[in-house]
Amino acid sequence: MKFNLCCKVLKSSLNRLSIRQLSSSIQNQNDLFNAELKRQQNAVGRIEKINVVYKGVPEDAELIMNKNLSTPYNCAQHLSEMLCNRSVLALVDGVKLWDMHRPLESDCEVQLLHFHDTDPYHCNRTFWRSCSIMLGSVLSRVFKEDVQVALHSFPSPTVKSGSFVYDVELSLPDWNPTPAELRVLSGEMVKLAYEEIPFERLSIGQDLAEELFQHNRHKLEQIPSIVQQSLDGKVIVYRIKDHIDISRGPMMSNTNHFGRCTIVSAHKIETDVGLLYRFQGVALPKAMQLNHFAYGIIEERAKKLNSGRLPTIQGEYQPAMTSREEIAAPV
Amino acid sequence: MANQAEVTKLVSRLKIPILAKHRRLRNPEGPQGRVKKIRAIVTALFKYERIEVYHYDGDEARGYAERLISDAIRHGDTHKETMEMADYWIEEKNLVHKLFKVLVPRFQNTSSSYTRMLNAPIPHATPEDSHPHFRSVIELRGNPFPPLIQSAVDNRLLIQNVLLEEAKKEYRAAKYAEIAQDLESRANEKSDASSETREDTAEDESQPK
Amino acid sequence: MLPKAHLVFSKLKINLLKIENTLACTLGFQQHPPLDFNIAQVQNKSFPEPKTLTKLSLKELFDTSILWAAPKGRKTLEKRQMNRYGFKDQVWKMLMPRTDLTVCNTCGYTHHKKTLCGNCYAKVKEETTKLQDKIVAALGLNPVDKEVVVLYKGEKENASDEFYKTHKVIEVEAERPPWFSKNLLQKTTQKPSDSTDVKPTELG
Repeated sequence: MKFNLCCKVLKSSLNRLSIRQLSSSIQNQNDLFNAELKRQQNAVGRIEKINVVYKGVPEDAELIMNKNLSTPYNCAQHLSEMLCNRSVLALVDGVKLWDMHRPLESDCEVQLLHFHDTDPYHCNRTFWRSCSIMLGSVLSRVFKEDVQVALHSFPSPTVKSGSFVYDVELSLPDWNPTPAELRVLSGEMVKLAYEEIPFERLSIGQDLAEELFQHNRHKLEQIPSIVQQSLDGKVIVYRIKDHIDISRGPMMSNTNHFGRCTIVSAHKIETDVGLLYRFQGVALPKAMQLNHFAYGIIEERAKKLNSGRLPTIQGEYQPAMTSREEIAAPV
Repeated sequence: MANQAEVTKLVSRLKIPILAKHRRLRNPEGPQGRVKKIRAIVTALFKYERIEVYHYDGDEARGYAERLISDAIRHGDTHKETMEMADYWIEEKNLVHKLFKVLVPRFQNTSSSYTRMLNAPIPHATPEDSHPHFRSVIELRGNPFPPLIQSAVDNRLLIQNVLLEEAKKEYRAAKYAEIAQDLESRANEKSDASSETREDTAEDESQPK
Repeated sequence: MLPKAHLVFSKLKINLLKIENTLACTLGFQQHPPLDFNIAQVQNKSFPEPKTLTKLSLKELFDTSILWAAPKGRKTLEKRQMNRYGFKDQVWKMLMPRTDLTVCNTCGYTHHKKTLCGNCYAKVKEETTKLQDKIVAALGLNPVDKEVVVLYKGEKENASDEFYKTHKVIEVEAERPPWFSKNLLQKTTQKPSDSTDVKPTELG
């Protein structure tokens, strides 16, 4: 069967190799994001120094870094290339999970976490969450122009559930993805990983958030409840390349941690907000190798409908991660 | 063909690769010196359970140690030839006891090789394409010493192990449910059958009346 | 001012004389001055008298000196390049980045891909030798008929009497090193627990 025939609703891969024209709304979103990023960097003003104590391999170190500018990734750059490559997440002061590309705010003690740790619980969770947001990024641009896509949200990541999830509203009333279509989605995910894009984090106010997501009614509905539930009344957004999404985080440092991936199914789910498609997939980090038989078992299990929280009407929105969970349990 | 002995059964099949031709291990004392060196290494391996030697010597001696353990497991300590071999290759005689009383029970049910050989670290400045005299670490498995390498996949908290564990649980739950259903249906059948038989007996009983 | 002008004048005079002399020599009006003319005469007996050069004869040359071999022909470019840089796949003389190094996940030091990590191995080796010495000293020349188990400080309380009967227990005064995990060992003094959902807590 010809490839194009399999993918009736998805853009053909060949077409998209030509220079992709960003739609005006996405361009607008990115301009807003860039402007806010620049504003926040300028707001730092006079650069102050902070004392960062690094604990871990190859040896403990003490670094003098820039307040509100230097990130854990910058610390890793001072220490070892291996740390830059393998670190997924930072643990600040032994309790707070911190993105690798989020500026440090005060004197602190930093540990760098990776997938081969003794207890990689937080790395695994972060990986699962990052996979969800990457899936959202892929879904938002992979469909043809005549299909309207509105990303809704994804439930709190649980690795034990067997699959990562993104709930999306499509203007297709009855769509069953063919295996070829699912394969295209998986391929897009892997392509995103090859591009080695860092996750950019930004904490923004409610007004700006509403301006950013003015084209997405689901996100617009969610923003007030997110602001209400957050401690400082801010919304945290992440950007991968040109895709911007809301998540409490933390995310892994770069898409290149992402190894192999399969998007296994898209289930139709009836919710309070209407008919949504629950896209499910399974992925492994690049650092992990698994034989195809064992991976097949995991894939097979991921096809079942994920038991994660179903999207609810506005006001009862639960963020992907509550602030309490952001604080790592003492090991 | 039928009268021919099966060669595979005469000699223990070892779980390590053995070279087609033995190594000469050049020595000023000639072949005698080679044997002496191997005996020393085999003895040290049984005594210390983990030793570091030159790769070629160690690799050669490893085969002899494996063969001794394998024979000891197959024939036991009442077999004359095996005992003679052990007596020849093990220089310290208290270790002959160890071979039969400690190592045989330890390795009786293992499916892997009895020894393990790993490359010892080499100096950092060694050129990539040079062939220095590599050293190797040989150890008997199941020794009481700290492990040389931590396995990269053993940790059950790694993401793939978590996923596989959950898949296993789900599969088991499904199987148990199936079995339970099966038992239930069987019990139902049985109860039906027994009730039938009871009816039959009742009928039988009723008939003579 | 006056001495400086004088100096310039004398230099000019010397130069003019030199030019005149050279011209005369080249045109053949005058002979070159002899070589030893330039040597300042020193009243010293030890000063060697200048040798009188005799005419070189080929025979004398062969008799008195060693003749070294000298290249007779031109080396080809390939040959010269080979001598300078070596051959790519066999002997390459240039410095190349290494491709066979890797980083130890446990300690973060680099080591060769096919070998154990040097840093970790040094640690393990030290502990192993310590234990081996203890075990060998404890066993002596007696026949070995029990499995040897090493118990660190604070671990022998858990061991039962039956365990002592079936195993040769070597006690070590020191604490168990944190990287020498108890859980990874096959042999243990602890009874297997009855509960099914045990989480490993003391890994690594």
